[in-house]
Amino acid sequence: MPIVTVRRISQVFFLILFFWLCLVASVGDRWWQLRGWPVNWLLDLDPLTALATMLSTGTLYAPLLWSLAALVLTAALGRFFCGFACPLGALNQFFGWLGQYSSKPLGRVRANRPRPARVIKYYLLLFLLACALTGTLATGLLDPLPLLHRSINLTLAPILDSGSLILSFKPRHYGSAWLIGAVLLAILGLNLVIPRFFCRFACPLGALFGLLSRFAPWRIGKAADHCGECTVCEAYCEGACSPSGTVVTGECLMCCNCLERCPHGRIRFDAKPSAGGEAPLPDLSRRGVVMGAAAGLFTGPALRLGGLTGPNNNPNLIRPPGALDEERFLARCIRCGQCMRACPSNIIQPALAEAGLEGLWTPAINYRLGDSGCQVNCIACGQVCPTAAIRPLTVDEKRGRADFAAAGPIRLGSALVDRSRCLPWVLDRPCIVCQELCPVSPKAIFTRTVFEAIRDGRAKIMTASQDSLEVAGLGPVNAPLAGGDYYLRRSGRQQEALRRISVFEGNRIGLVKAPGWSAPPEPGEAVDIVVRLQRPYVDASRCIGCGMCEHECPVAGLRAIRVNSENESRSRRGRLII
Amino acid sequence: MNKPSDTGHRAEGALTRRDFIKRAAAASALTLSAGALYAGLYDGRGPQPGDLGKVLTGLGDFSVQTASGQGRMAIVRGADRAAMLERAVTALGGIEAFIQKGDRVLIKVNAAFATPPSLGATTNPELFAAMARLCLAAGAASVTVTDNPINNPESCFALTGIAEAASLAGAGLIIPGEGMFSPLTLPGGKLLVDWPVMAGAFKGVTKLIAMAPVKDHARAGASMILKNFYGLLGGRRNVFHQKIAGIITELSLLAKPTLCVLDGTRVMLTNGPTGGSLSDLKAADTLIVSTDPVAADAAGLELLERTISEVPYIRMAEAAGAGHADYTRLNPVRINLGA
Amino acid sequence: MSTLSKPLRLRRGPKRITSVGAAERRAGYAVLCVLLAVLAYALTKQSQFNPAVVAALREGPADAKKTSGQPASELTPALDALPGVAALAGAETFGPDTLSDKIDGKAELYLSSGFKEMVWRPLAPAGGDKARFDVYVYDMASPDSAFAVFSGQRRSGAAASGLTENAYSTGNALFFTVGARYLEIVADSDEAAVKNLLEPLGAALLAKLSPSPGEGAGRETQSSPASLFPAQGMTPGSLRLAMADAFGLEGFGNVYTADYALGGAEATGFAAILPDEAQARTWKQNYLAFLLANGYGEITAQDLPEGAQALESNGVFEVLLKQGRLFYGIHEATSLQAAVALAATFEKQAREKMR
Repeated sequence: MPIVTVRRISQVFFLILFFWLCLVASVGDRWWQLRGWPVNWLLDLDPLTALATMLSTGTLYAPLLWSLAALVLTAALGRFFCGFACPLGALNQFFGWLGQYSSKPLGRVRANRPRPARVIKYYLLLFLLACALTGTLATGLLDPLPLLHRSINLTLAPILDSGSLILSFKPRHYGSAWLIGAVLLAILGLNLVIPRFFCRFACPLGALFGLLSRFAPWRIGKAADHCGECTVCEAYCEGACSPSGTVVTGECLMCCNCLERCPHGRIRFDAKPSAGGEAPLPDLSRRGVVMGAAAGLFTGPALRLGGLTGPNNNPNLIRPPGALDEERFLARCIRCGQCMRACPSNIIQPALAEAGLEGLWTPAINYRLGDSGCQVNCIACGQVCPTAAIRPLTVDEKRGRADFAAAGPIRLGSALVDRSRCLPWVLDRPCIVCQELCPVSPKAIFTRTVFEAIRDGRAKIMTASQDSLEVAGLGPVNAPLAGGDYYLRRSGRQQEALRRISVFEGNRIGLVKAPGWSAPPEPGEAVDIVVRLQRPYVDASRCIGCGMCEHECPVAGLRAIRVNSENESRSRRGRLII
Repeated sequence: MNKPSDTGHRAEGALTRRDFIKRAAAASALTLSAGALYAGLYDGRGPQPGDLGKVLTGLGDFSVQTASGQGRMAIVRGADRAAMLERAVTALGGIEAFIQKGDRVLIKVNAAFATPPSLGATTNPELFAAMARLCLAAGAASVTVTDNPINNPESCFALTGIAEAASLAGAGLIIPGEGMFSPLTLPGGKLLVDWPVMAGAFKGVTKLIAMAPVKDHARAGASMILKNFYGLLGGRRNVFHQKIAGIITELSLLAKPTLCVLDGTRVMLTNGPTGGSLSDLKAADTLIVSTDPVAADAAGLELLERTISEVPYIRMAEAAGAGHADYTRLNPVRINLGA
Repeated sequence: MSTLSKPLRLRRGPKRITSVGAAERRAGYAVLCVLLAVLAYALTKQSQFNPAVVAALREGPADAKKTSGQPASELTPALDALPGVAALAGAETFGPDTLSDKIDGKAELYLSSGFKEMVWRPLAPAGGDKARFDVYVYDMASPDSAFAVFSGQRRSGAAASGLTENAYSTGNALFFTVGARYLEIVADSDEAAVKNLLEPLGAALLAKLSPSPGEGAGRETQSSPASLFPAQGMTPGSLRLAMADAFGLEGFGNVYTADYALGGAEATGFAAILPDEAQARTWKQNYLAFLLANGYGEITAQDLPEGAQALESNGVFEVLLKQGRLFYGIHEATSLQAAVALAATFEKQAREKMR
């Protein structure tokens, strides 16, 4: 079987595997759900993630050990990953093939000619690694594996979900998905202009593989210098590495098309240098290298100047449960969107501006979207995080049970009642939705009952018996007076027990029998209709910031109870002490 | 930067083989160094939550197990504080019984007021320096000293002579800063709930020595070893003045010291805790060194001419399990060096 | 790998003319083997569940999820953090529409007596014992309503409990009213260890459910004729309140009844205080008509109180009386003598107390 066929099989295999691992990343035990599927396996294979997190954290998170395999194979064989395994590479190749479908051979050769811009990806790589060294991990923005995971998790998968409802029980929402999708479309669309555009010019992972293949003993090359120079090999070269001339081995994507296409079989994959001459890498300018690295070393600290990881933190930025403190979090998060896909509540969203430029597309919780607040027994986000930017919690740790009783539950923030919007606080409307939904035991939200006279609720008694009376002068009352929350109070007799209204018809008011009046009021006496309001308060020492209250608050616009990052477990800042 | 190799133009054969071996060696070296890097930075546990949002439950138990399993005490009479300290420590088994090589020692002094040592409101700097030297001589890796004075720490440390004594003795001075305080909730505590304490000073510390003078105290009745732990609190700690005995009782559980050095050479009998007049002081010529802070305070009471019923927190601290109010049960070693 | 050299045949198009060499073929197979290994790895791994899946399967959905679809009640907090017990699940709330989901046919008893909502929560002893308690808190329209459902279900022979005015316990359960609430605490065994937890649990709930300021504490209202019943011969704990359709008479509500054992004969006394005398008269007539329609015939008897009417059907006797707003009488007495005697004392007490 020709190696090109094997390469195609391998690409399709990895593409399907990739899509499968994206699709199954929703919690459940069915075969098409999370089960134990190694959903992060492709992300774990990524040596760029490994290297960058090593630079930013000084440690290598255990699952990233997988990337050593990719690294070793690349050092020995070259950029096999780009040609055989990378799912984005496969998609790029497919769209490039579409773009060149009707091209004449000469046009194909022109499309695949080496371009000076291919060095950009090396500078980008240096920039990103230098950023990582200063603690800002930005590789995930361009690293094809997190990029594609993010794009599929947040655009294609939810679109499929909303269409078929097979993969998810409810349509899912992701803020700024349009931008993420647009980036993917642009990357795929550019292949129509130049095949493998992203791979050739922008891919930092490809650049890293190129550097790693610097000493690869086996590589592509010409067996004899004097070929017919038909350039058929160039017409089909994915890497634009000029196999017909001086081959740049670091740019070779191992598509193996030249092997297949050379009419005379003069191109080989061998331990010998190319007869046509070879270069390990394209010409990198010293200036570019220095600029890339220097810009990276500058950018990280510059981004921190705003103080978003410190005193100027955004109180509306709620990170998922188990997320590290902001500084360590940003040193680890690769924005792959796995947590956003796995979250059964659909509240973990890609941040657009909430976390600053540095935190673009990192996970931020939005309690208005999704199906509920953060479910107290769910630990999905941390368990699918490939870099432990969100630590893998146990339910015990999340809830502060068993061994974690002393540490207490993980708090995402703290809810606070907005008394300028809350129904029982400003609109005289009974409402205890937030208190009812608070899942903490004992509840973090409690109520204090007050009785307030309603507007235009004063009336004069015409006739009265113990349990019913006729009144006059009552204004238009737009409230369910017989609903159980409304009471009658005799004006000027605050001490007398309030009487709950059970019937309200025109001017006749029926009262719940007990407790009764010592004596029925006299005609002419004034009465007020009062409403019983149970006003919510938050006990900050109990609130875990799960957002159940915010999600369900009937003040649907700007919620009347909102979770802020105050008191969040992951940082000391904003602790609500005393 | 990289010029095209010209090896392709040369004849194949030995050169090619050498090239291959070189490349293979380089690739292997790359692989091996990557492997070494991976192995070196491997983190099987993943990141830990850090103590950022954690509420502490205590500052640590720094007490050392004595041979008898009981608390120990030495009461030395004399006038030369350094000599008294040395004799007392020797009587308790030598400094080696408490400080081992490599220990990081924190000395909690009373430096609450910007007053000179002569007024006896703060820990005597010579006594502190003698203690620091003893620890360093025993092989302590570091000795640090701290307190959280209410007002202007720098000037407190300077005026009390602690800062100078520390630098002369080779001890580090920890001046409290905002970042050093972490919230602490004492298990079963009523007052110490989510309260900021100076945990930053305890980072890496393996031994704790408490040093305080014997003083009268307007609210608490007496201020000695236990009351001195008040200086580990941050926040608006004056709210605790309403429940002074209760807070001192909880402070007795906050940290268990390795050694307590209670200085009764000069005792502040009146107008405590600040004093101000030398007439407030009386020469009691006594130094109490004990492993048990409650016993030390109980012994100190006698110097202060108080009874245990006048200072309720001593019994309360005993009931809480912090030590023994009947210090005679420790069979104190009594030494008289002469005044 | 070695070079691919020997030309064998020419292929169509710009493709190589060489054959697939052995090395290339081996490399191809090696790649395919790797793919198979990856597949095998993924398939093996998928059966080792992610901890998140394990947690989802074991812990179930979040506590706050309500299964009844009813908004949680304001009573729910009362079932939080009770001493000596741990919650087995979150509290569930049932309204008039969903009550029968939980207690099936029993729902009617509550619905006809002014039911508002019920909160249920399963509990277990904090020590981790196997036992289980089910706590039901019924919020009724009024203390009378609560008494009605309490008395309507009173277990005969049960021991009175000092918890509240209306409280009793059986081998495994405790029943009581507090204000307008009726509570049942039902354990799954009558072992002493479990049983001993009932009273403290009841007391804790009682403390939490004490009536709110706007509502009266007791059941003592002017419309209660409970005190009118002759004490002599009354079966202890038999005082009941039927909120509606007493004796099967449609609309006949707010009727107190008590059972009597009088020298071998049995009888039930009943009494209802109506809003005014006219209504009392109407209901007396309604009931008379109802009895006549059901095969009773009027009889005369000696010593009947003045104004009383007696009826009989197959040896079962009824006596109907009225005193102002009070309509009362004897229901299903097994002997005329007993019926007349009871009616006489009843009438005497009613005349004195209704004045």
